Amino acid sequence: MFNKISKIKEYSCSTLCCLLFFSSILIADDQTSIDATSIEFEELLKTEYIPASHIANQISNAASAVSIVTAEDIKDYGYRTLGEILGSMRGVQTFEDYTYTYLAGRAYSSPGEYAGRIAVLIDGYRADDSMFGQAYLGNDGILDVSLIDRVEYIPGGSSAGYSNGALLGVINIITKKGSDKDGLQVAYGHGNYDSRSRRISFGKMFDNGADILFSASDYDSLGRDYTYDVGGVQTVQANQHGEENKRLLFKGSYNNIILMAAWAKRKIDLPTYSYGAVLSDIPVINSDENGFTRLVIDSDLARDLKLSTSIWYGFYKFGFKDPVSLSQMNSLMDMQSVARWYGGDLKFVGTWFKDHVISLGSEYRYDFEWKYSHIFSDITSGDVWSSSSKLYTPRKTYSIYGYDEYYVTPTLGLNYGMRYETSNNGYHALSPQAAVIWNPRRSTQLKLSTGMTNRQVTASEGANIIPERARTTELVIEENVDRHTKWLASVYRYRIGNRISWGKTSDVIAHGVEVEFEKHWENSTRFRTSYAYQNAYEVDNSLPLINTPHHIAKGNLSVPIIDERLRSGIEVQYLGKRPLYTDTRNEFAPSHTLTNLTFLSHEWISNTDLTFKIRNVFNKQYGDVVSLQANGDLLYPQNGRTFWIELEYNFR
Amino acid sequence: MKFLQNFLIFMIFLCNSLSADALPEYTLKAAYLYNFALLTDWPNMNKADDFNLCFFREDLGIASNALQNKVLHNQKLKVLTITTSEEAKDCQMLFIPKSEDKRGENIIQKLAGFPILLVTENSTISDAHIMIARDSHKLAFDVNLHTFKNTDLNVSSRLLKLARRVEP
Repeated sequence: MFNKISKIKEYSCSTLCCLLFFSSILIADDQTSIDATSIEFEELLKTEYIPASHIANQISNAASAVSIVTAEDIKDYGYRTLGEILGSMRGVQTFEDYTYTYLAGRAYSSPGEYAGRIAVLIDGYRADDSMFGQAYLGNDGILDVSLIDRVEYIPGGSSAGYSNGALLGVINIITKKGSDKDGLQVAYGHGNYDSRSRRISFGKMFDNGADILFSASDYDSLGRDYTYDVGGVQTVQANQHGEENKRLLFKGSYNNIILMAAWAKRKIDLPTYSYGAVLSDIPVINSDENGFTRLVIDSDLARDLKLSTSIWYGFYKFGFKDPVSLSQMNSLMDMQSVARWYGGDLKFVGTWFKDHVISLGSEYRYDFEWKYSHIFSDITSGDVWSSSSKLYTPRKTYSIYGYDEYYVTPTLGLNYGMRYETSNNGYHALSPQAAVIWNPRRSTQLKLSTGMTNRQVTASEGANIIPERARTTELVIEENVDRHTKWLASVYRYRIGNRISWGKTSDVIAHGVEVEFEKHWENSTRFRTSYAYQNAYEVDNSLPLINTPHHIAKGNLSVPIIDERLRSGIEVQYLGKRPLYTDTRNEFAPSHTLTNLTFLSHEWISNTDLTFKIRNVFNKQYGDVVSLQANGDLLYPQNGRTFWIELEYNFR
Repeated sequence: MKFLQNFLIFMIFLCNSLSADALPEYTLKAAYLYNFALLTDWPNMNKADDFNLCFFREDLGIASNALQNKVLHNQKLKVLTITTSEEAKDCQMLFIPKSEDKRGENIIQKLAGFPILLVTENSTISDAHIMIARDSHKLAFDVNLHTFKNTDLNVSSRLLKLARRVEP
């Protein structure tokens, strides 16, 4: 009986996707266009337009199956975190353990291992920290999503060209310019659990070409209550998951110089029961603070030679404070970690030779401070029981790289190159890659790529100098039927060796197939659907990888209801069953389908945008797989139906 | 499920109430391009040939198809999609969509001096004749007179009058 029900549930996703697809065709499959040439030009100039949306072109030249989410998508689907943006992409899975949002791409998703295997770049700056290797994807993220122009996810081995240690891919975030905001903007949002967000942004491009963007925002929430089974009794722990963040961003550009600085601090209260604590009213406090500043200068040295240079400074601070007593030890605890780094890079792009675009570059990074400390003190007297601090050896990493995009014929291209990196601790690694790109027809592109990528340890992972290594191969077929219709299919395989992990260390082999279809209509309806089949296992014991589902399906439909004044976005995400964190892998988290619905009123009231979002519309009870917890939990229940309303006003 | 079905039906219903005074962006752009061609004179053009309206890498879909075989300056209008500067030399007019402006900038450099009416959607490309811009829910256009002079194309005073901005 249970099997039957779960089967029905499994099929409900595909039914839903089909329904979405066909209804969108019903809505918008209009293949005739109005001929407006008979209208007087003077009249045309007074006519308002319904904005067209065509499928976003990939900015990067990566030979893998790139996914793109644009500012338009962020607005229309009401995304509020980078995790939500990434979660809408083909084959990507995000999951939460009440503290952080984790990312799984291409079947690799070991809970508790931070997201840094996929590097996050903000306008080219490597944004994940070097202490733990976490990319901050939730409310702890350094960017307010309203400042994002587009996010490109470049999976697989062709990512080494972007950054050191981009083992399984790169998330390339391009931020907006001041001219995109063009004025002062204020926003206020409100949602369940007394959650509130406020933002003020100002952007402008001046007549002399200077462009500035400034934004300050904050968020706070009381957080949901938690129910635990305490000796057979369902017990509620309330007020244990409050959260607050603050964010600042400045970006200025003039001629060929860009200066950017960003800072974010997030504090979150953690429900203590899973840490083995009593059901105390006062939770432990976890804090994350990230900041960076970066200066970029682009120059044309000659007609066929461009130079891009940048210098940057960044830091990360972590705090974990137990103001009452964790684990009934009658002690207070205060833990802190700090990481600071700076660096610079130099990249030449030359078009000296016909049909070649050659990039040569070098990068230097100095992680000059990695510090960890903790203090345990007596709960009543305050006497320090024990304190410890550790300074890790600072690390200097140097890398050089060279890539060539060679157009053998107008329809056949070769991309090849390598990156070599070495550190003063004895670490060194070579990451080569090669790809063939063939356009048998103007609308069809085949991309075959292979590569090896390496990741060196973060400070918290120890002193191992052998890099974690992934070998990837991928074949992609893209069919751009027209400017509004695109098909994509990808087959990939990779193997990860020398795994750096607290838990499982066996090599991993994964292979998978992904397909995606995207169509935009002239009335600005947009539709995208994808399906990913993936299979990942540990080589030593042939056991499936923890938290890796075989099936992931997604559908996104954005429809204008009353021209551009009212749009609705509907999003359906299906995640197949996936093994829990057990040695035998024979226990599974059940599959689930989540549906999110967003209504956006754009300029209905002058200068005002209003967003109303229902997340998890059908109040689906589901959980995310977590690493081993003190109380034995393997699956953390996630939020049911939640609401969010946000008002944005533009002073023009 | 029931809720979703009802919701979709509701949306389909509401979509039909799409405002009638607005036009799809590509339909409007196609009509703009047609009018630009109409209000420009190519003194050295062989009127026996077709008039080639070219799109760089991406056309406007069905909106550009609607222009195919229209009669313009007593010539048959042909809509073509091109990818190289060599192909562009057979065009009377070339439209470079915003999504292609990076590659488009290179091609414009190679076409300097040719009697090809260049239309872009990016204000930073300085050597185009006309730039189409979104301007508070409407489409406006700017004209660069300098480029017209350099390429032996004559622009009508009506087009200049309708332009949002004319750069000398």
